[in-house]
Amino acid sequence: MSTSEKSTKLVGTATRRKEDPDILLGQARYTQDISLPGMLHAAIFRSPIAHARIRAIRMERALALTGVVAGFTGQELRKLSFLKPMAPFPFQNRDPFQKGNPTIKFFDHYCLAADKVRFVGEPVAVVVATDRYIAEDALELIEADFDELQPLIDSDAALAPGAPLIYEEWGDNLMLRFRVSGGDVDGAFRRADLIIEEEIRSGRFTGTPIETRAVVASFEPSPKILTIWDTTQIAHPIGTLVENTIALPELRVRVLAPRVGGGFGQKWSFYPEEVLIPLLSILTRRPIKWVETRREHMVGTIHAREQTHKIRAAVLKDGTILGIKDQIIANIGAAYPTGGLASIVTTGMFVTGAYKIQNYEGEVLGAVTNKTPYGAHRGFGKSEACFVIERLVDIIAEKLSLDPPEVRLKNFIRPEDFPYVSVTGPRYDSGEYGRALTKAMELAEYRKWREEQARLRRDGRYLGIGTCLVVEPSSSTRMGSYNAGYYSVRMRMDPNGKVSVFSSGSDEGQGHATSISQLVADELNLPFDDIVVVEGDSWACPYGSGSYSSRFSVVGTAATTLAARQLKGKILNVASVLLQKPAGLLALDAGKIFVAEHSQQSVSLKDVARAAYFSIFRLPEGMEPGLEILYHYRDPNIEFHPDERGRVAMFSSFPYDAEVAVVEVLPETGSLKILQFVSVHDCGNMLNPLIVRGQHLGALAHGFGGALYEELPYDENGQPLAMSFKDYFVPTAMEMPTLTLEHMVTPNPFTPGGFKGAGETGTVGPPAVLANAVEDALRPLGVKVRQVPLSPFYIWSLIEAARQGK
Amino acid sequence: MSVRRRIAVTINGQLYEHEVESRLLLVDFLRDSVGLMGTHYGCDTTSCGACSVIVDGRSVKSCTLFAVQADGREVLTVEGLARNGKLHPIQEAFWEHHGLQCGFCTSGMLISAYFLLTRYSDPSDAEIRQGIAGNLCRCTGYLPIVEAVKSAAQKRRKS
Amino acid sequence: MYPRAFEYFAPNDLAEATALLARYGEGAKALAGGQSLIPLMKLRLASPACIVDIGRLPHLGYLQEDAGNLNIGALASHASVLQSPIVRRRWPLVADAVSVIGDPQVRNWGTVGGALAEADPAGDWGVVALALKARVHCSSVRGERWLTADSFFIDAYTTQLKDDELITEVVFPAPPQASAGAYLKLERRAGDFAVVSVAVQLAIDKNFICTESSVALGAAGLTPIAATIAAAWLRGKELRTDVIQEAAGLLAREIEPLADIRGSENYKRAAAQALFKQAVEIALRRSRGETVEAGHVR
Repeated sequence: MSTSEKSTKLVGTATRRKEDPDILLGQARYTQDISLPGMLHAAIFRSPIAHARIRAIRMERALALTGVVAGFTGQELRKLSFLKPMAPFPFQNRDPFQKGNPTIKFFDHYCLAADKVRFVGEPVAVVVATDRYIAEDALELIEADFDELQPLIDSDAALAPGAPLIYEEWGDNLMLRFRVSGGDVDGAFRRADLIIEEEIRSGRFTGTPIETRAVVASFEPSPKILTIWDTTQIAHPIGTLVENTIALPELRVRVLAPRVGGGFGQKWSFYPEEVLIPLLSILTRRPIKWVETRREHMVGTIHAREQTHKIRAAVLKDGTILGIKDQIIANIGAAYPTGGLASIVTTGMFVTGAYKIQNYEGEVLGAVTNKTPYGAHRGFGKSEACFVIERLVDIIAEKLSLDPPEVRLKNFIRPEDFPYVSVTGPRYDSGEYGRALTKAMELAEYRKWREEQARLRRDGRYLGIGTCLVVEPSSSTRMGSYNAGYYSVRMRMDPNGKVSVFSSGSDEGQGHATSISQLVADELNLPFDDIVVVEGDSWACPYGSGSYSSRFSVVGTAATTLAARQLKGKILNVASVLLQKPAGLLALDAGKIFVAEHSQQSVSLKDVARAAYFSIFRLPEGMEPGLEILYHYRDPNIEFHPDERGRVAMFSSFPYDAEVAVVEVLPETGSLKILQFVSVHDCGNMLNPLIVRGQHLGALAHGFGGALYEELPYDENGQPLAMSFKDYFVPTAMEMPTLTLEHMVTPNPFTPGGFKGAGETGTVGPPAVLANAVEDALRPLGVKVRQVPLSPFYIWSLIEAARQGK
Repeated sequence: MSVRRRIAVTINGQLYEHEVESRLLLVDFLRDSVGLMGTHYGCDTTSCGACSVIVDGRSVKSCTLFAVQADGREVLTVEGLARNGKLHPIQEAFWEHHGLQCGFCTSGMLISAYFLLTRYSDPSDAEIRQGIAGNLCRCTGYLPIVEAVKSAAQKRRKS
Repeated sequence: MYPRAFEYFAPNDLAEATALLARYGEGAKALAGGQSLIPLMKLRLASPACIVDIGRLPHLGYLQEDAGNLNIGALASHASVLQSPIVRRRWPLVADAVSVIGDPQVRNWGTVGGALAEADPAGDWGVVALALKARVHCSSVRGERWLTADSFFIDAYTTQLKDDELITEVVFPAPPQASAGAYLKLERRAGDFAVVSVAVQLAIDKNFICTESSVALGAAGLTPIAATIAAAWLRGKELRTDVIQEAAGLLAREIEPLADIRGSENYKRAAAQALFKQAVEIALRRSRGETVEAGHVR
């Protein structure tokens, strides 16, 4: 791209990323790379027991070790008058929707447990040493006595009457209850030809970004500024949350997210370490660094997706789904402020999926157990909902002897129905579900595989075909939470004519700097390289809620585009003064502003900028100095207030994909061969097809991981059994199947760019489509697949049980 | 005969002499003693490969080697791939093919790709996948990385 | 994440190394490639007070054929074995097994001797050594001796090696004429510990009768297991499907897999049988001169 000519548009092109050279050269700085003079290293002593009263923690031997500078227990920290319990997240109070629905119980967890431990991995004590090796030596010298209590692992057991209490104050183990309903579900069930009842489970999963969490904190006492470098997706909210938790008067907190190595929701949370490490800096007056080990990560960073759905569907003989009732029980672990509550509420909203089902009743119960706290993960509750509805559709098809795609096509929301208000309130923006599925089936050669299946069945082989349609609502807003429904951008053209964009989102690999630069380059006809993007700095960037829910594509791009247009207006206004011509007659291109009909009459962008900053005497009264815009973009397709039935439009944009999978099951080992996998993906207009493809492929890989490989089992004592990548089977390159990807485009009608979220859809489909394919393959044996992951052992067990007639 | 030892390691062509604890892992020597932060920590069970470097011409996970084992040896880290600020063809290929998103696994991937291409001039897709089987990525889904390595191999063969 | 402190020695030759091991006894461990030992030390499951780095000892990294025997120096890396044209051409079972050890980085530094000494119940080299009836040469200040694979492994992570002894060489005796083998490893995903692994080595005469057979399994008990009864069943017979099926049934009763997150005992028994049958098929095809891929099974 030459710097003098700028006429080709960048939006919509596969522009390679400006972030990459630094990363490729090994120069990118992640939180674990931060080093400050005098810095000390923290190591955290975590509960080895799932449920116990803490009798005593003795630190003497640890503190006596050479190189150990300090150490604290939870009891000791309780004595600090300015330390409050961790402020609530994501909901800011017990009745966020102001309707008594959901009802939420909170618990005042501090950053270190003091009386009781409630999950293996809960932070109990901390040591600070001159290096990380010594800190780990010190951990071994901490002596802890616990009085063990009966652990609760299973959510049904936790909710059973008489169950031991994890939070005695509550009187039960129910943290959240949410009900949402629409239409007349009882009437639907009366009209039904068939009622189907199923229990379907979604397994516990964690996204494991390759970068674990890390916090570096440095406290300056005068004035009181606490600077925190943090691997977070939500710099501003963390600043507010920390200020509410470390309530030192006049304390100001600045949160910086350096380059972040993957988030996926795992870094959208409020963690005890985000209080503890800054607190240590205040107490020791030294910078403190903590880098999470992977072993810590497996228990100390949120898990997701563990839900049981007891679902009933009212169905007509022709496959029409009249109504659904779903009771959703989420196993949410301990009640830390981790974001899981919003995720499970979301599940309740999207059980009807891509289908025109206008009679629905959902009840969401969040049961605390002695497991790692539940948080947000890619898909955010909708992955569980999609798994359930897509399995249900196949089950309905089987009961009615229909081909599953037929049932899908019959019940889909149709193109003419958009914008479609779903039974729980969200307004689905646009889509062509039927066309996407049909296209996917064509690409997969569905009919041919059905014939192949019949042939192989005669040879006693098990080939199966699965289909699914994922709708993955993106860009969430939630009353009473930090997802406040807007995206802010500050955009400045400096005196040299270069643009800086201070964005309130955050980047964990999505390529925001490139995307924003493409948008601004097009709006202002500037070279791509003349635009600098800053994110993840709670002081430099306008207050915002960070990145989650694939919202950048929806609201981030809109804020950027509209800010750029406003900035352009300002530039033209100043230029019009300098050129003595109305702004409406002026054009901006290639570093100059010129009169459209008479291009010799021009002024350079640099001169305009310098005039705006340094020669305000040339500007009329009332015209602001400088070229800087602060723009707030409100999400256009959401509603804040739920109604009395819990209905609310809490997501604004609806990307989707249709998937077809063909598998062969090898019954002797339960192994799966994926013979074909097609995804037809629609995320509206594509700002950068290279980035969209990358996001979708990465999401699919997460999907395969959850579908086939990754599980987080606990033993009966509440001990987690997957504590490392040796036991938690994140797929390697060798596990990725060959994929056929296609795109469709139904633009987002509400935003300037027409983009929808692109980063999560892929993760949702594989569990559903592969479960459908496996059940289809094993239909001759009457096997029922009701959970993921589809480990070989699970599939083999299903086959064995079927063969033994169970 | 002590817990500390003096070592001399050549890293990216430059000799570094330091006194280190015998238990110091090579990854920490590179990052903390020498200040080369491009090599990353991603796990603690020799699984993720984010710490991969080349020692005496062979790729290794630097979290599973003591610095003392690198005494007298030559180490290549990601910082040593580019020459005079010009990207190595493998780095160029990753850039072209979007073989990175968050970038955290990228140093290790580049090293594994580099090592693979010292052994195979025309690796098949299967051989590339095997070649990076010791490197975990959560962002890319691996396929763009395979495409990048294939492209780098092609360019190498042409030149 | 980080090991406990230890003293470190880098001896220049084998004599110095064995002297150090003798002096420090139980408190010392030999470090070859470190790809088994260092992970254990980082988890603090092993914390030797003293490490004797034998990784640079000269003359122990070789691989050569001698009168049909395959002699591998203890410090030969897995990668060097995998790259050897000798191994690829004449020892396909070994090639299969080495190709599924860990990943490229681990294969570059991990050594044959180190893997055998570690005696991981799921370790691949142990299974190969059993199946091919290897002999292990060991050295200490007290002298040298040969151990046979079938008596080498005593328990999980425990071999006949004394604390002060080092493996210096592994010898695989020349297989009989017209024999072929295969190694298959069932994994949850690449680089993982085996769910179960099977090595089969067969000799087939011109009448299609199996004259020699050897079967060993990994991750099927506390040590690698020689399925001698199943192997014996195959001998003297034409290996038709029903014969192989019978042998698989016998094999299931010779192993003692442990239930874990990869599966129950019964699952592992079933998987072992499936892998055994596949391995026999591949060995048969190879004995007829076919080129067949083996190694990973998923």
